Amino acid sequence: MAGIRVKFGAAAVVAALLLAGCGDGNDGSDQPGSGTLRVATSALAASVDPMAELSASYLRSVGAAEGLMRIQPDGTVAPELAEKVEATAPTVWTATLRPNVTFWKGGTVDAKAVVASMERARTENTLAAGLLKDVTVAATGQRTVTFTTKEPTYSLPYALAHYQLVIHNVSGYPAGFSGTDPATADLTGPYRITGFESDRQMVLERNDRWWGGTPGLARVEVRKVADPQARAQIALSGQAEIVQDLPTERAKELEAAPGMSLVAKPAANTVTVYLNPTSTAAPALADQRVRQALAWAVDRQEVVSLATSGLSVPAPSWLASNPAFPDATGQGYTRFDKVTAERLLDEAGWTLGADGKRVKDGKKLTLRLLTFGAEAATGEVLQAQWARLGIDVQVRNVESSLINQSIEKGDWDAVTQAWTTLGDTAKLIAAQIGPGGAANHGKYTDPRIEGLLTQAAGAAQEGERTAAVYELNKLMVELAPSIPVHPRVLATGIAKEVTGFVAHPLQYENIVQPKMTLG
Amino acid sequence: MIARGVVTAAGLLLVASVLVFVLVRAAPGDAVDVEFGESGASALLSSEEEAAARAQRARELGLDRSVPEQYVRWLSRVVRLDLGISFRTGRPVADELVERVPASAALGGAGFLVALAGAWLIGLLSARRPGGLLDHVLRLLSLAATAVPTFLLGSLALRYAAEWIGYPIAGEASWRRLWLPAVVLGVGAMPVVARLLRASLISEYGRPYALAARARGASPARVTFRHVMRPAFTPLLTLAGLTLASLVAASVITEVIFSWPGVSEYAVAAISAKDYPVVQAYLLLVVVVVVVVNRAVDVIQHLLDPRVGQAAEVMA
Repeated sequence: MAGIRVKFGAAAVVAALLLAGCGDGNDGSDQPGSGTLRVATSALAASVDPMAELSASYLRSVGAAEGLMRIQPDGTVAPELAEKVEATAPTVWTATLRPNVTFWKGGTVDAKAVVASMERARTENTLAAGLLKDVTVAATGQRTVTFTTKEPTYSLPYALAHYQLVIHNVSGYPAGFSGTDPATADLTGPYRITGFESDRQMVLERNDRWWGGTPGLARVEVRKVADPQARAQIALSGQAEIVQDLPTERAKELEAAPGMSLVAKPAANTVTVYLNPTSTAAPALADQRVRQALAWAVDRQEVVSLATSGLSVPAPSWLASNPAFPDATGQGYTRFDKVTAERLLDEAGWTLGADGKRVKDGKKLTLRLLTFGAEAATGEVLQAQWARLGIDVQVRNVESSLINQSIEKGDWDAVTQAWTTLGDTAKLIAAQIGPGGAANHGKYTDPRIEGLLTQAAGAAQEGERTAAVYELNKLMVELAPSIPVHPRVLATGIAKEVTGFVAHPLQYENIVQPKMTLG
Repeated sequence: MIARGVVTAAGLLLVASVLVFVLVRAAPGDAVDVEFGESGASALLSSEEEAAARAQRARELGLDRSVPEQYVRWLSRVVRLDLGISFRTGRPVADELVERVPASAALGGAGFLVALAGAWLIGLLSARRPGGLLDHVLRLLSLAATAVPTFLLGSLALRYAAEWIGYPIAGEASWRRLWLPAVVLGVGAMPVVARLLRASLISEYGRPYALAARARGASPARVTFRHVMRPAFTPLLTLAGLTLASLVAASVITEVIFSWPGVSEYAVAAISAKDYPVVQAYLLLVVVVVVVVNRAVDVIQHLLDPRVGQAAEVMA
């Protein structure tokens, strides 16, 4: 009898757990043609507060958040909530806001609200503080905001277009509020958040107050699907209209799938191999000729073909992934040149032995390459290509934090990273090659750099600033602190019934677009 | 016995809490590194400004204190069932876990049932004629199920179920979605239980009481279900406890592949972000589940067969 009770008890517990853990089976995913756009993505905002860490770009990507400016697909910057932004003095930029722009809850987006938003961003978020460093923001009229900088800052519109400076209603985010309660969110985008489960899903509905007219969709459901193969399957089975961050190794299958198209715009960041000239394990990297040889020996077309299934394009120079600087694709390592690579290594004293390995003073030419995430494939192709040159490369795919730690300790030879190239280009390139630059891991210096950086950031004429940026890009090719390979791939699956989707080099913040409709 | 069990479990949990805390921090980098690495703020700040900003964030997260101090503060909260605040979402970890536990429990429970039901059927069929064709075929199938990794089985199952029957890949924890990950989870755990049950049944069939029943004219089915099944199941209790514990581990992969909104999927995201409070809470929860399940198995075994408890006392 006791045994029976135990069995029934166990069965009841299991049944209760099953009942408690499961819904009614109506997961709301069967609404084709109802005006509901279903999006499957690899990551979601952590919070409905755009100033919380790792939230703003995701909120912008789903059409919830907007800034004063926005970067366009061609890399230029255009007004968004601002009607216009113009330089009214060498150190003053004046933004005129669009009339009749309101927050979701009806509050007016006037100059005071914008200033409050900027100041909260500066206080609450480190990235925003960096963007607004040495910038004073003031309301000088009902719809006029002035940005005063210490020195002429020609790139300020790009800062204002940054996702971290999206405009939010500060009064909607009191101290101690819950970052996951959609009711607290008060932004301006065409779609307002009505449901939010951190790390799981977000539901948005059309914002009828949107300044740009009626958004093209009634409802947007965004779900996080962490596994890339599961995302690919969602795209193939038509269970979402937009699927972000698809695995490149399934490109052919996805391209051939009926009912969807694969959009793979090269991202505005360059997968780059950074080289350590002070490495004790690979002292050869101290020699500029060796670094250049490594760069010339990269067959970028082959890398793109094998590591990204042809979804990316070769990046002959670091800046090549920035569409606003189209001439950068003609700079740098524009061809695969094994002969030059071999000559440079010979000149540097690394001669080819009978075993096919490069040797100098009895030591083999070796290096350790750390890669991260999807760049593992790139690393493996590079390993094979450099092996043809007689160089032994050990590749390890590790967490990004391990790469950062290795750099901090100085215990590294080569690492892959992909820094953004589009935005405030002078600052971004300064991070690569400037003194103390966050991505100048090898602490490279050259007497020409500082002058060019000053010109790139502060020359009065746009042409001079552009020329300086190109010159810095060329200098990076010459000094070879790093080897540009290809832009990262942003492969997005778009269902045929979706109209109005525009590919963007910053696709991760431009997924749900206001004019998009379901046909 | 219960008091001794509670004391032992408490000791185990304390040791586990130290291990969990230290292991989580042994991995390179912390949440501040992740946040700064992903945000790109370092490209816009001088090294001094970045250092100051990092220090400020570390203070906010309590990571500026020594590890022993962090541990003591964490433990003092945990004993009051306060698992801390998630670094990423700013929400209480306990709330976030509570939201996800039912989905994980449903998947684990369903997977366990699938494993037991499958193992019972395989064990029964195999033991009917040991060495026969069916026994060989089932052994091969069991070996295959053991050899195929969960991630591969899960990915294949998801692929074909989505293509052929429109299985919903993403969504809430629902009945429509539960069955497939449960089968994948159960199939992985099934072979070991099935093999043990087969051996146990064969052994019981050879015992005098079973032979006597056959001699008295009882049918094979009656011998199996009336006489042999219960004693054959007893040795499986310990294994069933271990199986449940292994299902917890296997559910990490299964929940990620099937986008099942349980605690394991939540923990995987937290591990990437170095969200220490979440990872610690998750690992502690796993330890609690394993300890509780094993204790429960001990108690059930004692209830079913008092000789187990007597033997333990003699050994003590």
